[in-house]
Amino acid sequence: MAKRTVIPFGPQHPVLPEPVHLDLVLEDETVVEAIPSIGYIHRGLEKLVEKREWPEMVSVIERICGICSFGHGMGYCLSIEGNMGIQIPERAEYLRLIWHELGRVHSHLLWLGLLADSFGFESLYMHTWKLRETVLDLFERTTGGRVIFSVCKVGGLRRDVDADTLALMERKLTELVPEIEELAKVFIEDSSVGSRLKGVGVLTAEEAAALGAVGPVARGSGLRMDVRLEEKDRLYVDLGFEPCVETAGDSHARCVVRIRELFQSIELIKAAIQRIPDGEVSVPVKGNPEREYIARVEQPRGEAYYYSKGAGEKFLKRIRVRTPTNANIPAMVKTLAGAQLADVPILILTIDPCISCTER
Amino acid sequence: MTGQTEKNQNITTLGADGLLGFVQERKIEGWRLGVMIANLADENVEVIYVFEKGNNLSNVRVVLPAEDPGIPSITFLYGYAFVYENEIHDLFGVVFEGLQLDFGGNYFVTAEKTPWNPLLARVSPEALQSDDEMGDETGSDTGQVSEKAEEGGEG
Amino acid sequence: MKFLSMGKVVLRSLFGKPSTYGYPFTPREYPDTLRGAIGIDIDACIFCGLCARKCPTDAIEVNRQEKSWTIKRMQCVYCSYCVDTCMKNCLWTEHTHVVPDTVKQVDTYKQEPPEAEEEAAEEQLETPASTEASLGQTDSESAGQAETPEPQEGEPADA
Repeated sequence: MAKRTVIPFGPQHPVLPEPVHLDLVLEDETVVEAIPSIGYIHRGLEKLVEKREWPEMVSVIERICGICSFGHGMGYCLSIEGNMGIQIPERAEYLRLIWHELGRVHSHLLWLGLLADSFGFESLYMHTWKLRETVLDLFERTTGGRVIFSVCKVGGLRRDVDADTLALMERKLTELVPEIEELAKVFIEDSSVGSRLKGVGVLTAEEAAALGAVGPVARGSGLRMDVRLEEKDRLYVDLGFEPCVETAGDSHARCVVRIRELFQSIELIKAAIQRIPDGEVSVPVKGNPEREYIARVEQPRGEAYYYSKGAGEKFLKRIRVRTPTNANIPAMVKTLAGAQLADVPILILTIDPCISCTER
Repeated sequence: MTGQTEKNQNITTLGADGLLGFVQERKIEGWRLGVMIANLADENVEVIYVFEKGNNLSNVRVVLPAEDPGIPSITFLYGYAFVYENEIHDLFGVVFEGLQLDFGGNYFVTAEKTPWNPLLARVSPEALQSDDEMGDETGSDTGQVSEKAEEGGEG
Repeated sequence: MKFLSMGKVVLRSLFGKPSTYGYPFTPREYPDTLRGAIGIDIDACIFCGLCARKCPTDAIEVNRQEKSWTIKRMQCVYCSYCVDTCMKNCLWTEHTHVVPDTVKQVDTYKQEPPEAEEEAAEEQLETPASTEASLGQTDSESAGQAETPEPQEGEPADA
């Protein structure tokens, strides 16, 4: 048997967006197994429910992560609205859909840039992030902030968007599509990119189901799994939503899934802007949450759970946020076993890790 | 998004012995494990298991005493539950009997052990100092974890 | 399989102008909807303390006895919950952010008692800037601003 060495990877590493620690057990250049450990960014945000009243808790939950920020705010509001039995107006639902899908566009553009950086293609990384700036400017114009939006509240939304701004949003997104297509062609067809991505980190459909993978990791292996398909999200079903599924199961397939979702989100936003009704954007809320409620949201990285428990007071008893990266860690550990050392950054980034979401 | 109708928000309460039967039924019918939630409530630690299939949820709660919580592990059925069970062990001090892929307390690294459960009887001053020896422990845990990985696999 | 598929993009950016603009020499233009720094009309404030209770980062301190309202500029996260909660509508968001600095700025605004307002009004008559808004309001604000360093805010617009 060859000699084994243990190399610590992280928590500080140039390719990692967030600190995670892996102990890689190596034989020559092949990783035999990887042992993760987390906790470097644990801020104890869930314990703040004892100090912050439930309407203000939205601003704490939004700041769990900067990339999935709108999803967290919306998921928490959905959980409390389900807890108290509140129905929000239809215009608010459409606006939440528009912002959520715009957040997905932003997250996938960011991930594509980081993926290019992980195999050293820095100019592609910078060009992809230049496109992301257009999306951030749209966020700033409609919500008031580039990264943290503070626009969701229990009972609806805090601000409205007028028709001129929606028309501007549609125009800017239509101009963005050909620029994204130019860069998407590089990711999908270029031979040097393909030699780094194809055949790396293969997960078959049975393995993905046995490991509990969610999101684009599962959809890249052929599992048709998406929270937006369910009847309660009738808006998505009405707009003709169909999840993007690839069957190859390697990193290239997961990249293609996210690129297809990018274009699909832009189409969903434009369709929603055409059909948005007029009306109020919030309803008044009285009383306090008294029950337990579990809500689910499809974040850009997969399925997220939001559990809230109230006891009729201004302070909640418990909230729990389970983010998709938490569910994808077993899939990451499995793909790392048997990989080459030079592929480790790509395999970590292929599940789109958001460690600050995992550790709250 | 419209008036959240996640079906079946009921959480049935079972004892630790009824848990394995419930989980086995779910596995046979093809439900996925969604999340395991732990909560400190009135000197008890309650662990909630949420299973999901289609648009339905199926939930169960087990209540354990906070000083010495112990519960059988479900990793022999759902291998990927090790992520949740290790985290709950590191934060709340719950002992999962039969846990495959046990990280021995080194999965969720915090400055104090079991920060969410101050009532735990087993927290000792020696356990609080163990982050000085993190390097050695990880080395020895490597041997322990790789043996268990070879035996147990991914469930 | 394609080779050099980035070639067109690279050549275009090699001979075109840069996509960045020269911040800080070119000033940043913010849209009107930006949630920026918090401004207060101290005379309308009744010191109820609701904004301090709602602030998620505890950046606001309200002192009813001394009639002062303090905000820690670097602790404010621009969520504007205080603006939504204020019953007298005396808080607003500016359309700029706080300028980055090496010290943590803390700004205190005090409401002057009515006699001091009239004396300050007579002193300030020669400055032309005080003719914009109503006389009492602007004068107490410039009196308040003279006590503490104000790095970025000029004449705040009326709420």
